[in-house]
Amino acid sequence: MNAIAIENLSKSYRASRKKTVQAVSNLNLTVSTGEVIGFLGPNGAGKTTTIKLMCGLVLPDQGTVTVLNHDVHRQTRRVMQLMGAVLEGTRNIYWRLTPLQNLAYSARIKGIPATAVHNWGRVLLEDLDLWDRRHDPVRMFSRGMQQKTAIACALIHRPSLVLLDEPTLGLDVEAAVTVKEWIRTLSTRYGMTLVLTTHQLDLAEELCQRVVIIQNGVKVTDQAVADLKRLHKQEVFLVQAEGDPVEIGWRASAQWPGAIVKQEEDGAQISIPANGNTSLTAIATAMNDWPVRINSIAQAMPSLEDIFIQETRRTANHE
Amino acid sequence: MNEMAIHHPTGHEAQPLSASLRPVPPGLNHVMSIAAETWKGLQLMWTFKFNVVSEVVGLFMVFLGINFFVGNGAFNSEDLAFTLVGFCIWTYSIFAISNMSYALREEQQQGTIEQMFMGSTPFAALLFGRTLSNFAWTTAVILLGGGTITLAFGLDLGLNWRLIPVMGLTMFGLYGLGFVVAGLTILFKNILSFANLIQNVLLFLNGAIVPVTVFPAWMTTATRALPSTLSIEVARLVTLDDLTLADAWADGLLPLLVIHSLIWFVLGLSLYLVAERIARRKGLLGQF
Repeated sequence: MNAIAIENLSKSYRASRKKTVQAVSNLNLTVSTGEVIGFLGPNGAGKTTTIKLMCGLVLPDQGTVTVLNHDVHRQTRRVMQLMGAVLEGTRNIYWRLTPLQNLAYSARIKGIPATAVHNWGRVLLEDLDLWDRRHDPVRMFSRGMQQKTAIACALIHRPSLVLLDEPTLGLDVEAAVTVKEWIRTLSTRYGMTLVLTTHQLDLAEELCQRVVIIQNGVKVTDQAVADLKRLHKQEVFLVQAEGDPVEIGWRASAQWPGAIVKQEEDGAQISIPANGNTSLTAIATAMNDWPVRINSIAQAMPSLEDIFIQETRRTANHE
Repeated sequence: MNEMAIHHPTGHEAQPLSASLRPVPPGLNHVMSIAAETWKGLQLMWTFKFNVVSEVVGLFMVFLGINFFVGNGAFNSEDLAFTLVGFCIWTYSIFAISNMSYALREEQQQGTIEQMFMGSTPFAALLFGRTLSNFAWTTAVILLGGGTITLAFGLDLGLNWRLIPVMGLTMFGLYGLGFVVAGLTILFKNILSFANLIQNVLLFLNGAIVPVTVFPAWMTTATRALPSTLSIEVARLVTLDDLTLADAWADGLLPLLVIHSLIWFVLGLSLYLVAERIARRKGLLGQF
């Protein structure tokens, strides 16, 4: 069964009297139950609009969104009982209330008596290391704890589908790891379907079975992470170089159009798309007269980040 | 496994979720959601409990100031009782407006409003829950401030049970006004200054300080269209003038209040539903 079925979904906004922005254009997407997908795209790509269309917070110009066989815009109330969402960080909780008060409220407005979720609420708070602080106002929490409270609230009615918009944004490493592990648990232990939007592509790579990349409202990629990496396999040479990162950047771009340079503290990492003219030797030769020290050159599986940049660049070039 | 009695996961047991927890029957879930909204409102207000003191002091200082000014530097107990009834109902109005403008805008800024829209109960019904908690909170403020003034000046307000249905009708009308303000708050960014304006205009035009009957006829009619004006007039009839509800009905003001409250409610709800639809179309829910 499909957890989500989106058909021909379009949404445009009027930015000014003369200008209309096409936020989502003719989007088709299905997500099977139990699947974890990453919904990726650059800023302004239409991710949040799509998520809000899925939540019924925005009406589409055309198309339908079906969640577990229920039309989001016609059977909104039933869909809301099946779905949980954390939109833009900690934006679903009351900072002046305690985690327990927030959980009770979240359950009850979903039509579930707070008493019925007592045990589940305890599980959530314990697993997210919030149980000891359950009587403290959320405003006294760190950002990570607030985020975990927000996630707990989105899960309190045990939804079958969870939408997570940037779930680890702004979290420190420890909190991000906890949240990440918990997201994994939701899928593996509780069989929830998860849709994750994030700019942290390593997170998507670790958690998601499939990624959908959207750009300018148009879906540009929809593939299993493994397939996507297989498709782009052998297309990347990874060079670790020491030197002025800016100089490495412009030299690499001039030498290999399409190269992706990630600046680091004392150098840069260059991902060079492979083609007929690139080889380990050719790269080493080309960089021979650069004022840099090459630490390593290797043929590598591209990271999801490399693929994301390649895909979005490819689409931009086509346009 | 009974979903209502979930054991703490130990790591080895898989618990696939076939469905969500069973919700309460339709209809009852709306009652529960409204109660949750009311309770949440009271919990949030309780976190500001010390503000109530400054609210009470501030409001009733204004009240005393106005009476001192109107009474040419003296307090007259009859005038005080007359204006206190009006002032209390005006307080309900401004708290209702504030609850649907400032408090709703705060929910927009925090993002919690999106979760309210994602509940299993229509947002318009949740607003009723907000109104209930706001009503309770305002009553506490009025009892504290108005009670202190009543005792301090030995006023005879003629409080009796007949005030209850009048206040019920008043609340019904204010709920309609709340809908209008809520709809505008969702749609427009600069609504808060407008809300301020309404609050101040109401004080001087709804008959709280001077009876609207002293205005020119056209203005009396116009001001009676405002929320709370008729409520104040009828409340004075059943308390200060000790009229029965039948007398107030025969007087013509009570039936006017019934119609007035009904119109405000229907008009407010209709406007709100239009505003919500526009907001959903334009993607304005949760934006501020």
